[in-house]
Amino acid sequence: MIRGVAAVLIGAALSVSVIAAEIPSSERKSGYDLMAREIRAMQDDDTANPGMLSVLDGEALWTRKAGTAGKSCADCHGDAQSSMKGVAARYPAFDAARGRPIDLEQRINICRADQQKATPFAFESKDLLALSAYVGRQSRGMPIDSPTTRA
Amino acid sequence: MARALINVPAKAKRGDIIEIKTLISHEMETGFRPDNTGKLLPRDIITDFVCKYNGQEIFRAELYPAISANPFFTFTTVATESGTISFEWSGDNGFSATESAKITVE
Repeated sequence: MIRGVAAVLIGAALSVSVIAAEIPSSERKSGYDLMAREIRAMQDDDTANPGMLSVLDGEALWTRKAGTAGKSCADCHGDAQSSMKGVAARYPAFDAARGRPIDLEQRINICRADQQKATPFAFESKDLLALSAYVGRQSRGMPIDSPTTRA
Repeated sequence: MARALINVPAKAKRGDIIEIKTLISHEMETGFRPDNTGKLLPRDIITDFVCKYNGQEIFRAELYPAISANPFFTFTTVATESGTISFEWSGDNGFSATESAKITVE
Protein backbone atom coordinates (compact mmCIF):
# COMPACT_ATOMS: atom_id res chain seq x y z
CA MET A 1 0.00 0.00 0.00
CA ILE A 2 2.76 2.40 1.02
CA ARG A 3 4.74 1.38 -2.04
CA GLY A 4 1.65 2.09 -4.14
CA VAL A 5 1.32 5.59 -2.67
CA ALA A 6 5.00 6.24 -3.29
CA ALA A 7 4.65 5.12 -6.89
CA VAL A 8 1.67 7.43 -7.35
CA LEU A 9 3.63 10.32 -5.82
CA ILE A 10 6.63 9.71 -8.06
CA GLY A 11 4.28 9.49 -11.03
CA ALA A 12 2.70 12.80 -10.01
CA ALA A 13 6.11 14.41 -9.55
CA LEU A 14 7.19 13.25 -13.01
CA SER A 15 4.04 14.54 -14.66
CA VAL A 16 4.47 17.89 -12.85
CA SER A 17 8.03 18.24 -14.14
CA VAL A 18 6.87 17.37 -17.67
CA ILE A 19 4.12 19.99 -17.46
CA ALA A 20 6.60 22.57 -16.04
CA ALA A 21 8.85 22.12 -19.05
CA GLU A 22 6.00 22.79 -21.43
CA ILE A 23 4.63 26.12 -20.18
CA PRO A 24 4.45 28.33 -23.25
CA SER A 25 6.44 31.54 -22.88
CA SER A 26 3.27 33.64 -23.11
CA GLU A 27 1.91 31.97 -19.97
CA ARG A 28 5.06 32.22 -17.87
CA LYS A 29 4.79 34.50 -14.88
CA SER A 30 7.26 36.49 -12.89
CA GLY A 31 7.37 35.90 -9.14
CA TYR A 32 6.17 39.50 -8.95
CA ASP A 33 2.75 38.40 -10.24
CA LEU A 34 2.34 36.13 -7.23
CA MET A 35 3.24 38.77 -4.64
CA ALA A 36 0.74 40.38 -2.30
CA ARG A 37 -0.13 44.03 -2.81
CA GLU A 38 2.00 45.14 0.16
CA ILE A 39 5.09 43.25 -1.04
CA ARG A 40 4.69 44.73 -4.51
CA ALA A 41 4.48 48.22 -3.03
CA MET A 42 7.75 47.60 -1.18
CA GLN A 43 9.48 46.32 -4.29
CA ASP A 44 8.19 49.19 -6.42
CA ASP A 45 9.50 51.82 -4.01
CA ASP A 46 13.03 52.57 -5.19
CA THR A 47 13.69 54.93 -2.29
CA ALA A 48 13.24 52.06 0.18
CA ASN A 49 15.45 49.60 -1.69
CA PRO A 50 19.12 49.48 -0.63
CA GLY A 51 19.96 47.95 -4.01
CA MET A 52 19.31 51.37 -5.52
CA LEU A 53 22.26 52.75 -3.52
CA SER A 54 24.40 50.29 -5.45
CA VAL A 55 22.82 51.42 -8.72
CA LEU A 56 23.81 55.01 -7.90
CA ASP A 57 27.39 53.86 -7.19
CA GLY A 58 27.40 51.99 -10.50
CA GLU A 59 26.21 55.08 -12.34
CA ALA A 60 29.24 56.97 -11.00
CA LEU A 61 31.59 54.10 -11.88
CA TRP A 62 30.21 53.98 -15.43
CA THR A 63 31.77 57.35 -16.25
CA ARG A 64 34.95 56.97 -14.17
CA LYS A 65 38.13 56.42 -16.17
CA ALA A 66 40.15 53.38 -15.11
CA GLY A 67 43.21 51.38 -16.04
CA THR A 68 46.23 52.19 -18.20
CA ALA A 69 43.95 52.73 -21.23
CA GLY A 70 42.40 55.65 -19.30
CA LYS A 71 38.92 54.79 -20.55
CA SER A 72 35.59 54.68 -18.77
CA CYS A 73 32.70 52.34 -19.62
CA ALA A 74 30.93 55.34 -21.14
CA ASP A 75 33.82 56.06 -23.53
CA CYS A 76 32.99 52.88 -25.49
CA HIS A 77 29.37 52.17 -24.54
CA GLY A 78 28.04 55.74 -24.27
CA ASP A 79 24.80 56.26 -22.41
CA ALA A 80 24.01 53.06 -20.50
CA GLN A 81 20.28 53.80 -20.64
CA SER A 82 20.28 52.99 -24.36
CA SER A 83 23.41 50.89 -24.88
CA MET A 84 22.83 48.53 -21.95
CA LYS A 85 19.07 48.10 -22.43
CA GLY A 86 18.31 44.38 -22.50
CA VAL A 87 21.93 43.35 -22.02
CA ALA A 88 21.54 41.88 -18.55
CA ALA A 89 18.55 39.85 -19.78
CA ARG A 90 20.89 38.00 -22.17
CA TYR A 91 23.32 36.83 -19.47
CA PRO A 92 24.66 34.33 -18.54
CA ALA A 93 25.64 33.49 -22.11
CA PHE A 94 28.03 31.14 -23.86
CA ASP A 95 31.16 32.90 -24.99
CA ALA A 96 32.32 31.13 -28.15
CA ALA A 97 35.77 32.76 -28.17
CA ARG A 98 36.52 31.56 -24.65
CA GLY A 99 34.64 28.29 -25.00
CA ARG A 100 32.80 28.70 -21.69
CA PRO A 101 29.68 30.33 -20.29
CA ILE A 102 30.11 33.76 -18.71
CA ASP A 103 27.83 35.79 -16.51
CA LEU A 104 27.31 39.55 -16.43
CA GLU A 105 29.96 40.12 -13.75
CA GLN A 106 32.54 38.15 -15.75
CA ARG A 107 31.58 40.08 -18.89
CA ILE A 108 32.19 43.37 -17.05
CA ASN A 109 35.56 42.12 -15.81
CA ILE A 110 36.57 40.94 -19.31
CA CYS A 111 35.81 44.44 -20.60
CA ARG A 112 37.75 45.89 -17.70
CA ALA A 113 40.83 43.77 -18.38
CA ASP A 114 40.79 43.91 -22.20
CA GLN A 115 39.51 47.41 -22.95
CA GLN A 116 40.39 49.46 -19.89
CA LYS A 117 43.61 47.53 -19.16
CA ALA A 118 42.69 47.63 -15.51
CA THR A 119 42.82 45.04 -12.73
CA PRO A 120 39.55 43.10 -12.75
CA PHE A 121 37.28 43.65 -9.77
CA ALA A 122 37.20 40.91 -7.14
CA PHE A 123 34.12 38.71 -7.44
CA GLU A 124 31.31 40.02 -5.17
CA SER A 125 33.28 43.22 -4.53
CA LYS A 126 31.31 46.40 -3.93
CA ASP A 127 32.36 47.98 -7.24
CA LEU A 128 31.54 44.91 -9.32
CA LEU A 129 28.15 44.55 -7.65
CA ALA A 130 27.49 48.25 -8.23
CA LEU A 131 28.32 48.11 -11.95
CA SER A 132 26.30 44.90 -12.41
CA ALA A 133 23.35 46.46 -10.58
CA TYR A 134 23.57 49.57 -12.78
CA VAL A 135 23.77 47.53 -16.00
CA GLY A 136 21.01 45.22 -14.73
CA ARG A 137 18.81 48.26 -13.95
CA GLN A 138 18.72 49.14 -17.66
CA SER A 139 16.88 45.87 -18.41
CA ARG A 140 14.28 46.33 -15.70
CA GLY A 141 10.97 44.68 -16.49
CA MET A 142 12.33 42.82 -19.50
CA PRO A 143 11.95 39.03 -19.61
CA ILE A 144 15.09 36.94 -19.28
CA ASP A 145 16.13 35.91 -22.77
CA SER A 146 16.35 32.13 -22.98
CA PRO A 147 19.51 30.72 -24.61
CA THR A 148 17.31 28.71 -26.99
CA THR A 149 15.86 31.88 -28.49
CA ARG A 150 19.24 33.47 -29.08
CA ALA A 151 20.89 33.48 -32.44
CA MET B 1 30.84 59.56 -0.36
CA ALA B 2 27.64 58.44 1.19
CA ARG B 3 24.67 58.03 -1.08
CA ALA B 4 21.23 58.79 0.23
CA LEU B 5 17.76 58.22 -1.15
CA ILE B 6 14.92 60.30 0.19
CA ASN B 7 11.21 60.14 -0.52
CA VAL B 8 9.13 63.19 0.34
CA PRO B 9 5.84 63.87 -1.46
CA ALA B 10 6.31 66.83 -3.81
CA LYS B 11 2.80 68.11 -3.08
CA ALA B 12 0.46 67.83 -0.12
CA LYS B 13 -2.72 69.43 1.17
CA ARG B 14 -2.39 71.56 4.29
CA GLY B 15 -2.97 69.42 7.36
CA ASP B 16 -2.27 66.14 5.54
CA ILE B 17 -0.14 63.55 7.26
CA ILE B 18 2.82 62.87 4.97
CA GLU B 19 5.20 59.94 5.08
CA ILE B 20 8.92 60.60 4.75
CA LYS B 21 11.40 57.83 3.93
CA THR B 22 15.17 58.03 3.95
CA LEU B 23 17.85 55.50 3.15
CA ILE B 24 21.59 56.13 3.36
CA SER B 25 24.55 53.96 2.41
CA HIS B 26 26.80 53.25 5.36
CA GLU B 27 28.73 50.20 6.52
CA MET B 28 27.66 50.61 10.18
CA GLU B 29 30.72 48.70 11.39
CA THR B 30 29.84 47.71 14.95
CA GLY B 31 33.30 47.65 16.49
CA PHE B 32 32.67 44.10 17.73
CA ARG B 33 33.64 42.22 14.57
CA PRO B 34 37.15 40.86 14.03
CA ASP B 35 38.78 41.02 10.61
CA ASN B 36 40.40 37.95 9.06
CA THR B 37 43.51 38.39 11.23
CA GLY B 38 41.46 38.40 14.43
CA LYS B 39 41.90 42.10 15.14
CA LEU B 40 38.73 44.03 15.98
CA LEU B 41 37.57 46.40 13.27
CA PRO B 42 37.16 49.86 14.78
CA ARG B 43 33.62 51.10 15.27
CA ASP B 44 32.36 53.23 12.38
CA ILE B 45 28.66 54.03 12.60
CA ILE B 46 26.23 56.85 12.02
CA THR B 47 25.33 58.16 15.47
CA ASP B 48 22.75 60.86 14.77
CA PHE B 49 20.01 61.60 12.30
CA VAL B 50 18.06 64.84 12.27
CA CYS B 51 15.21 65.97 10.03
CA LYS B 52 14.18 69.63 9.88
CA TYR B 53 11.09 71.14 8.28
CA ASN B 54 11.84 74.74 7.30
CA GLY B 55 14.58 74.82 9.92
CA GLN B 56 12.45 73.37 12.71
CA GLU B 57 13.44 69.96 14.00
CA ILE B 58 10.65 67.41 13.48
CA PHE B 59 12.47 64.10 13.90
CA ARG B 60 15.68 62.98 15.54
CA ALA B 61 17.21 59.56 16.06
CA GLU B 62 20.27 58.31 17.89
CA LEU B 63 21.87 55.26 16.32
CA TYR B 64 23.79 52.46 18.01
CA PRO B 65 25.98 49.59 16.81
CA ALA B 66 23.07 47.13 16.57
CA ILE B 67 21.52 49.12 13.72
CA SER B 68 22.01 47.49 10.34
CA ALA B 69 24.06 48.75 7.43
CA ASN B 70 22.32 51.28 5.17
CA PRO B 71 19.98 52.68 7.89
CA PHE B 72 16.43 53.26 6.69
CA PHE B 73 14.06 55.63 8.47
CA THR B 74 10.43 56.22 7.83
CA PHE B 75 8.31 58.63 9.81
CA THR B 76 5.35 60.94 9.39
CA THR B 77 4.69 64.61 9.90
CA VAL B 78 1.88 67.06 9.22
CA ALA B 79 2.23 69.18 6.09
CA THR B 80 1.92 72.70 7.47
CA GLU B 81 3.60 74.96 4.91
CA SER B 82 5.56 74.91 1.67
CA GLY B 83 9.31 74.81 2.01
CA THR B 84 12.29 72.58 2.47
CA ILE B 85 12.67 69.40 4.46
CA SER B 86 16.34 68.84 5.24
CA PHE B 87 18.10 65.73 6.50
CA GLU B 88 21.42 65.41 8.25
CA TRP B 89 23.32 62.28 9.23
CA SER B 90 26.47 62.42 11.34
CA GLY B 91 28.67 59.81 12.88
CA ASP B 92 32.08 58.37 13.68
CA ASN B 93 35.27 59.56 11.96
CA GLY B 94 33.69 62.91 11.13
CA PHE B 95 30.98 61.34 8.96
CA SER B 96 28.47 63.88 7.76
CA ALA B 97 25.90 63.86 4.99
CA THR B 98 23.05 66.19 4.13
CA GLU B 99 20.11 66.04 1.76
CA SER B 100 17.04 68.15 1.26
CA ALA B 101 13.72 68.02 -0.54
CA LYS B 102 11.15 70.63 -1.50
CA ILE B 103 7.50 70.29 -0.63
CA THR B 104 4.58 72.37 -1.89
CA VAL B 105 1.62 72.63 0.48
CA GLU B 106 -1.66 73.83 -0.96
